[in-house]
Amino acid sequence: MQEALLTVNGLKKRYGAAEVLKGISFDLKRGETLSLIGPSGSGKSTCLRCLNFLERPDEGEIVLEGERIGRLGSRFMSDRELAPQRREIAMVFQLFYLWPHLTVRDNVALAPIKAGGMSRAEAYELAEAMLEKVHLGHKADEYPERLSGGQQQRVAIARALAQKPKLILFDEPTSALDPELVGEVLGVIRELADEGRSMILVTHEIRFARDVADRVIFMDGGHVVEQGRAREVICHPQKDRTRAFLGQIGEAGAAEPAR
Amino acid sequence: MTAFLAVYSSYLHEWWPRLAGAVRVTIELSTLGFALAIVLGAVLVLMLRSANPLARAAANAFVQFLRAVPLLALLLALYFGLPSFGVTLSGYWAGILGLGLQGAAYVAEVLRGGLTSVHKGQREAGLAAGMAPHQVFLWIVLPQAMRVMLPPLLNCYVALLKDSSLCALIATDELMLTARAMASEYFLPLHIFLLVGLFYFATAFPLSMLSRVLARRLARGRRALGVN
Amino acid sequence: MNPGFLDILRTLLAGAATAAQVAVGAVVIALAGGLLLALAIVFTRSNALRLVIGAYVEWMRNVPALAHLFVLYFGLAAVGVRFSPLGAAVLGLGLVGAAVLADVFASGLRALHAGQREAALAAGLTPAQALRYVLLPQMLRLTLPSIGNYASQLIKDTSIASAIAAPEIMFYARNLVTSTFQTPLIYGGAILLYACIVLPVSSAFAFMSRRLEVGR
Repeated sequence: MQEALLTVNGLKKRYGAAEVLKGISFDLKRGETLSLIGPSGSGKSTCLRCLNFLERPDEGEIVLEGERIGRLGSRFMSDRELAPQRREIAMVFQLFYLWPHLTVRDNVALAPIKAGGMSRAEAYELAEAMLEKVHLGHKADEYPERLSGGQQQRVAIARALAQKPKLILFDEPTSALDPELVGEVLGVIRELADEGRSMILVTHEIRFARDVADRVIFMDGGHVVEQGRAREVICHPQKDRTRAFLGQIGEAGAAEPAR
Repeated sequence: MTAFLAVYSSYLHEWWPRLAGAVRVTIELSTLGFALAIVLGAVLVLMLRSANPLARAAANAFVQFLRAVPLLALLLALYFGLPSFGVTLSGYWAGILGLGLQGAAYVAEVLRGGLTSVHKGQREAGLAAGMAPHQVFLWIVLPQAMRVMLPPLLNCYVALLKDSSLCALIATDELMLTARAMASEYFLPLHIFLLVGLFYFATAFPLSMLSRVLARRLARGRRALGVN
Repeated sequence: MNPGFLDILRTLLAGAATAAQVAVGAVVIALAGGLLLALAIVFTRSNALRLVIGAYVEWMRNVPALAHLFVLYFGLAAVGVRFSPLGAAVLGLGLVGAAVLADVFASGLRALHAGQREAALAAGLTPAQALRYVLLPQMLRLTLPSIGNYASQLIKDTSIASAIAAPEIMFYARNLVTSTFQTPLIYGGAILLYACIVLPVSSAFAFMSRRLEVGR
């Protein structure tokens, strides 16, 4: 059995009186694409944001390649202490959060230079290579405001790739895009999955999850309700709640009707 | 009208060098006062944003107090009042201190507004990419905040330029005091004060215009970006 | 001859009365003048008029108030127009205030959607009625915070009038200093007095602005 790249154990998080995560546990193997699906408020984004400690879990452990994320002994790490660990985990945000005062190339190269210690020349070379990968090499000198939403998100993906991360997290990457721009972003994500990258994808695009993800986790109300191989969970959901969710979005699998 | 202007043609060559020298002092007062205001303002912002409630309260009280007090009262207090406590400042340095203290209150508000104008997600994206907090501040938050802060900071400098005229009342040899002296020497107060007004205008107006242009360009740019 | 703090305050309070007079006089000129200038800037079709008003506003705003007061008090006296210290202070601060508020009101008016005026005219109101019942009320609500800022600044600026011998707070303060030696107490008292006047005024404006916002 191949050792897991990422192990999440007993993640709990509350906001005031509301408990958003009630004990989430799962594994991710190297090279696997895992998709988190579920209704709004189920805690999927919160769970994702806990993985790189943008949110602090109240309880639970996150271990990446044997290293505990976010904690030193019994206390939490500061942002400064977290920086090296965050280098290993890249995140692509729903609202892209490209830095508007920098060109596309500088957006991709900034972190490798400042946090990765690369020289500007090396970083630019890397940036241009990553931009080529997302089919935006020709836009390197533009500013983000001149790009379409889909292009901006692809730049954000290039920025994430430039970190040379062990794991890439996607937080609803296409939810803020106009429908006709969704395809170009999903296309890039599919290419990354085919390359064998380790990725966790929170998304509402169930058909995409079914076709591209290796495994799927269905979350509801802060719990993991069902998990398994993507095609199985989505086409043949075992639990009622899963079935209800999938039926509601009208994404009841491929050829076979739900039992 | 022509008789009025004729006065200038006779006296300008005498007046110009004296006033030009005084303008230098005015600019020194304003610039040094502004520099002090920036430094103090930055300290105040740090205190205002700190987790320590005592620091926040102290900074708030300081800002509120300075904004409620006229600059002239502050200058007179510093120049005439401090010696009773053993500290004697020249009009020049009392002026810079007074300008700096009042400027700091304004600068602190501007800095605070600029920093909060940067969307939280910008910082998150920086942290998520593995950059340390100070790097995120220096390369991502500050550049974006500067765009918002530059016009009001320019306005602050212009305000200090004008306020430096009050230093005349604490015996500082800047433009206004020189003008007073010359007005009684030559018995031509109207001509001299109008000329001096022109000097102030020539220094302040370009900066105010610049500030307005920058502010307009900023408003256009943010609309183009939409979200964020 | 060592007056206590209370005696000092009593003397300074006499100055406060003058300061109040100056402030009220200047505010009236500033509000009326600023409004007229703003209406002219926004609604006139004459580019020349807009340029002239613009020049006036820029001149008043880029030259220190002290210079304006000196021009009015000392300068005009030399050509035969004599103002009392109070008169020069009220006029000078009022004219500067008119320039400041002209800017504030003009941007306030422009910020209102053009459709507001059109809807009013389409409903059969005359332009004057549209102004009075639709545009101005909204503009005042919008600009209340800026007016508040101006008011606080004006109260502080009355101190400048001491330079042309207007008997307001700083004038009394400096006289007291020369006749007694309680310098820190006197200036401390003056500062406290200003703070006690300005802080309630700015809080009142802030309170009013917030209430009007909520009412929307």
